[in-house]
Amino acid sequence: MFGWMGKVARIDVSCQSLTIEEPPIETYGNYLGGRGLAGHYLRNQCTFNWYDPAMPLLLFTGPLVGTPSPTSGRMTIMSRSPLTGTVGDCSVGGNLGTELKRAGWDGLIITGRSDRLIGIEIIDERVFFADASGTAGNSADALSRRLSERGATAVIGPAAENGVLFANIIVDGHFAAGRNGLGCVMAEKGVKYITVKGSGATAVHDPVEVKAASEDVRRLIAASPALLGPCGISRYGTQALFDLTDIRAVMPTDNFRKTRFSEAPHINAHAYQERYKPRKSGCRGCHIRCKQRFGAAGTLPEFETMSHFSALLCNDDIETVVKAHEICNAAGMDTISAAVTLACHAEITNERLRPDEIISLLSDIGDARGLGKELGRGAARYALSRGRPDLAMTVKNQEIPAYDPRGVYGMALAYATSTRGACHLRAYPISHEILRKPVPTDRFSFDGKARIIKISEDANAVIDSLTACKFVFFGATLEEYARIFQAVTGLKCTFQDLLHIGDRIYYQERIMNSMNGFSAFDDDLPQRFFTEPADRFPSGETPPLSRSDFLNARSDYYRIRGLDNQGNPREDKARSLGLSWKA
Amino acid sequence: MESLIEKYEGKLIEANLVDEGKALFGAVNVKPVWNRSDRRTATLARLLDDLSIVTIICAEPAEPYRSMVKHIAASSGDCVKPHDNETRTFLHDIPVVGGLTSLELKSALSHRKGAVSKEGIVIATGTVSPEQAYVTFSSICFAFYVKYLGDYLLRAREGNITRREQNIFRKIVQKIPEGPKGDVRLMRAPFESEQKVLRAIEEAGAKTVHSGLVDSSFGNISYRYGGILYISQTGCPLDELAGHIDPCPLDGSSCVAITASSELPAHLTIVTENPVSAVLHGHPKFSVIMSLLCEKADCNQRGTRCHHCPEVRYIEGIPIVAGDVGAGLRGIHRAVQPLMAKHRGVVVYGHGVFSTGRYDFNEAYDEMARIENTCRNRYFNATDVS
Repeated sequence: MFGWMGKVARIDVSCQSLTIEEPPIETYGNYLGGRGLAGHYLRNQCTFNWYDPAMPLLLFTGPLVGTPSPTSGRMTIMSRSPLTGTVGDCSVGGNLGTELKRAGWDGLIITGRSDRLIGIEIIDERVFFADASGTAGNSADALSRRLSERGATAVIGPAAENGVLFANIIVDGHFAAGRNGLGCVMAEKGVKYITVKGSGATAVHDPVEVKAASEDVRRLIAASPALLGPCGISRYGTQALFDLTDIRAVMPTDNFRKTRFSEAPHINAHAYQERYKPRKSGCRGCHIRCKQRFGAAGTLPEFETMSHFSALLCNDDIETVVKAHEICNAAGMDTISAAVTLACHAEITNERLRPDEIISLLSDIGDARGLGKELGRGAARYALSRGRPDLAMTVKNQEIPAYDPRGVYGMALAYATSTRGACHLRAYPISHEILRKPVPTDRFSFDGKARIIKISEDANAVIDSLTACKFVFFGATLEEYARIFQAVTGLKCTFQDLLHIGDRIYYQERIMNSMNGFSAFDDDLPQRFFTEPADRFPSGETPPLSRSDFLNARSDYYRIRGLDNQGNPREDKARSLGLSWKA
Repeated sequence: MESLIEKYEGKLIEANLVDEGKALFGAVNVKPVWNRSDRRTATLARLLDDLSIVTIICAEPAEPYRSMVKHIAASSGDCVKPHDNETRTFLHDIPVVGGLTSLELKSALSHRKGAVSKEGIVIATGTVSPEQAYVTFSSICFAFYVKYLGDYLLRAREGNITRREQNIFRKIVQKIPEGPKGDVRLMRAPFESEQKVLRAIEEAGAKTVHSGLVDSSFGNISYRYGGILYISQTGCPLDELAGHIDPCPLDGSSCVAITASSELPAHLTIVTENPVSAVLHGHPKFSVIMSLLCEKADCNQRGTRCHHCPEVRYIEGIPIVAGDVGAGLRGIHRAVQPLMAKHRGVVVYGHGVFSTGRYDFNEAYDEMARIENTCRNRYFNATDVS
């Protein structure tokens, strides 16, 4: 077998046992790896509560991981989300995916519940269970550093142990598997950390062809201003997007009450460069290297973190943003969710949070202390408990990232239809609505967006399954990656074949969400975006979204996706994709 | 979707890529919409159904593209691989189908975003917007134009042209429009305000397109004013620049130019290292064709490393260098900038021309037109067509 290792490890932490599964080649062909394969293994348990010992925590790599394919050093972690109740997953970078492949595994399926805190240590095909009770309460960053000699690491911090519903799993100390509260699932299983060290290699069918196809991708990366351009993310990290969201007036400000922050030009990527003199870093196998490190162990906040801990909270102090980012990383919790929850709290209490209050509240959330315990349940639950559910800027209980949907209509639809709650990465329409790739689209129009979003969702499901980094697709396309996939695995494949697989992966997620009761009612945006105008550049107003236009676009999306008019999956469509119908 | 189809159908005609009424242009969100009824609509509608695409163009190109595409496609296997930089970077290769059956088209368009048929029909698709299909259509026409004329000259030099081929060539050449005129007058410096700078850029961009020095979907343009480089946005047609020019502070204090042209690195190094204000980059066809024809004898890198050739060649004193689009270790900017101290214009192998103006775009435009006419004359002299 080329590309895949042919083995998945089932680890039951209740009895500390390992069972090896060898999926048939058809399963690999149908789901690829990463998010696709993880979804396949989640399906039969998807209606269990996230805290049920039988609910799996899935860590899956893809066929391109461990090969020379550009940006392939990523993997997916998935379970049912404690925050949203939907499918919960995250593509994460670092070295963990590569080390898992080197150790001989396509994925890990972790089930059960340990009665004491343990670590799972993997060295090639051997799996060890270590007593980790001494690490209880350890911060994610410090523990990652201590474990780094044992290979790649995935750890949880105190936030997960304390039940913060947006707790992350931190990979290699800096890379967050975030958004859905996956850290809570790991904590519930009594697993504090996973380390992986491997000594093998991924077999490649045609290395010469992989090299040639990878050159095509590298040329497109070089030709993409958003990637390697002088103002691109290779130079400034994802912070490069900050100025653009400001000038396009889509920067969520003051809990999404405004979309321009007057101080933005003074706290942009350039300001961080001046103050912290960062150096570039990145995931295994990536030459874009979007991570910005400084000092001995610091990383600069990425765009979403930077924007939400400043504009969203009306904070113009860069050091507070960096400190907030450090606290979240150490506690192991999602920065977007944390910031939106604080912004929600600020609006409910009609207060503007001072920098020291931002810092102390974040510490309280991580430690589940006082008000922090309430805030750690996320904006939606907090706002509901305060009688103001309208002030939670969430979709399916997940907090909205740093692009205001009133200025990017494709993103409005994408937030609503995302299978994991408000997510900018499921369809990533920023590519064409803001960055003009592959061509620009009218960001103030829903015309044609339903089909574009559906195709993009499919494409990104493939990207998360191969795996590759979504940023590459600001330049490259699945055309180039189909050639790489074919050269790696030896299986005939076109980019349209890949998109068909993406359709299957996405539909599977819709089925799982439907089995958990999600429907059109949940595919929606907070009322604010339909009733309140936003700012416009250089002055004036951007109107609220038209409710009827949004609903029409969503209906179009349902038809194109093959769902019924309530957003529920249809049996005929499921079967046409080779998916089993609901149990 | 209808308005975009109308716009880009109009642009196909305006750019002389397709004759009026000849393009079949469709797009789909929920239901497909077409610019007109046609017997091929049912076949293409099936493609919109079966493939994850949003838009499709199917058209016989206008002359001289039609004859060029037809000639190459008829004598090719199932794929054509032109050597120009645009194809190499963005299209890679162009599938050739025997006929316009949905089966053949589906197979070709599952691999690539565009294809041609043996009869010379060009098919282009997009996953986002009709503009994408338009750009692909335009790129394919450009690639075939450059390939046809380039291949002919190469084979003529080798004495490998049949009488029939010569006759076809002569007929095709008669359909090629005249070269650019050099007497265009553009806004003169000094420009006293940002507004005037923007207007000057818009004017020069539009003139460059209208004179045939660049197709509407390619090229880029910039002007240094104060501490800011104003530059066209990536993928922005040079005849539609209003509202699509990014200010890029030279001190790096803003990243707004993340949406600037992919050639921002070249524009930046040219204006910061040389006493120039205006930079123009176009894809004039004969400059591209002549750049591809290297006369160095016994080069052991030929055909494999030409796009990264470290040597500087000259045509009548005009330098030709090699490099990849955009940034990176092999980026064009590394090869172009050092030559700009002594030259007003530089040709990039298989790609296009960079030209500069000290004060405004007049010098830059004139130099690009001069380079193109020089290359054009050289081409026709070499093929015995005057």
